[in-house]
Amino acid sequence: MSQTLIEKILSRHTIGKEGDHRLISYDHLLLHDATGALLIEPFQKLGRPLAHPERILAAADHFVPPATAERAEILQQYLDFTKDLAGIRQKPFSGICHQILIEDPLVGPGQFIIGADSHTITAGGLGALACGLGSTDILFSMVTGFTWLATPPVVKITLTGQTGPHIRGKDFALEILHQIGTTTYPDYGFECFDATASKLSMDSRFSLACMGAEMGASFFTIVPDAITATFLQNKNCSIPPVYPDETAHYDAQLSIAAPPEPLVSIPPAPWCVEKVSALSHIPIHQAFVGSCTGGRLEDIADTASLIRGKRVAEHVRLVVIPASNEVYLAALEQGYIGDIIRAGGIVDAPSCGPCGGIDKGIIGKGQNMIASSNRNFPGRTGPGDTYLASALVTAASALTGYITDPREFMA
Amino acid sequence: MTTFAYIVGDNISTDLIHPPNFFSLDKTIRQQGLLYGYNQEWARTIEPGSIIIGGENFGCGSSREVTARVFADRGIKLVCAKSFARIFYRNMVNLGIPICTITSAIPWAEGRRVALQESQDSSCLTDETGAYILLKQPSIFARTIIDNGGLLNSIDHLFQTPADE
Repeated sequence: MSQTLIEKILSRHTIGKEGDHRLISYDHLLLHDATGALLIEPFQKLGRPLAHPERILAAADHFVPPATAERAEILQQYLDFTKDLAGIRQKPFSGICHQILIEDPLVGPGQFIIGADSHTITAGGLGALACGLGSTDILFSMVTGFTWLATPPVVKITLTGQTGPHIRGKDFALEILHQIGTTTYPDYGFECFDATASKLSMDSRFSLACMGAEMGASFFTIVPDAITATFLQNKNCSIPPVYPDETAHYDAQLSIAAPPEPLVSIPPAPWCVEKVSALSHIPIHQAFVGSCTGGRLEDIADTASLIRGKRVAEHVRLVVIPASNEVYLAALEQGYIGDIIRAGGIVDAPSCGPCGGIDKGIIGKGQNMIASSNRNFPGRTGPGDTYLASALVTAASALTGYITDPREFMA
Repeated sequence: MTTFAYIVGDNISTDLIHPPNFFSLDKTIRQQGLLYGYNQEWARTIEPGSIIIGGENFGCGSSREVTARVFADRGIKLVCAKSFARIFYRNMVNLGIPICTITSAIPWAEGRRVALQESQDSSCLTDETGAYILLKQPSIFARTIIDNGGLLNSIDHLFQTPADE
């Protein structure tokens, strides 16, 4: 029987059944300091060994470096805990967990990945299946070696049209959110085909897959192609891709054309979307380029290319946080970081930053932020209002102090 | 016996349920954040034994489990909503916190005292005028986890640990 990519990967990882649920083994399990700290005490109480320590990747990215004494203590507890877990892959202070996961040569298409963070879904950009879970679910999987889930219905999404230099994966994510919101396909697996003329870059695809969490998707996987193959080759990953069958049945189908102009999500939720040109009256106090959605090399390069040789608007904070050390080093080598600093930007060390309201860069009451990150629920990034857009829109807005179409600054 | 039911709208994110600045391993700090992003007064005054009534997509957003654990911290009797976001729902079940899906219209615009009547498959909340909300219990699988006091207490009861692939 022909299968979707999602069915294929699930089938290959199914090791049992329990009622209506599949028991699924995982190739990787992702931990970070904030949600990882929550499972220390129950893990010790449970007193069971790890089922597959070598499959666990432990990042530290939320409280890095910590902004308060309490967070320093939480971080330290987590570091002490993971240090004693023999055989796991320790990667603290290397960047945001979702970014270091996709950079890891052991992580590739066809795999099943779980993580203690909703944006674990990002790794679907590789043609893998990845989903976020809570701390107790993750602890369960650490000691049993599997998780459970019901087989999700699958929606096929075909991306079409011309992307052009001003349209990124983030704009596609916002276009999808604009069309379907967050409850049209609740808990569906999203299987995405890139049929655009110019093809999205891998960085754009990860940005899109990451926002799958905001669409209510259980998985957001992008069917591998030549772009994926080059990315895998460059990171020395030889895991063979898995493809859907041509005759696979989908429970729903959706065709998404590239939006003609960049899009912006307005408060109070990611699925409230407007064209950038409709928002040019909105002043901003901060522009943030970073996070697991918008802190990759493409985002930093877009920011640098837009503001090179110019100045950030007076009294506007442009905060740039590369998603990982690898991204940071590449951005340094390419000169992007210098461009950003010389234009008046603030560059911070790889971490989640203000996304999640956690750390440096949060905004105060009455302040507006435009951000390349993923969520703008009230209170998410501090008490102010957050608008979500691509790094290009974010950088252009930093230059003018108002939400701005980047094409004003593109040759 | 009646208890107070608080009513919130659709798409209540985990950032409203428990704002990130209340993230803590210390229960005394953590429990102050319950619904603080939605109503700061409630965060102070919600009594143990209360019921929360939500709309569609309750608990969307971040997976951080403190946003579920805070309901247990504060002794909330039941959280019900028209629909829940996947990770939040699992977190509630995994922590053994009672949760139900609303299958009828919500006849009330504001919170009020209600009586909870429970049966095997369905339950209902009724106010003094006789207006009611119908509730559907979680699946047998999920209910078994809740009845065991959470997922970690269910490992041996519920799962025949399969051999790995």
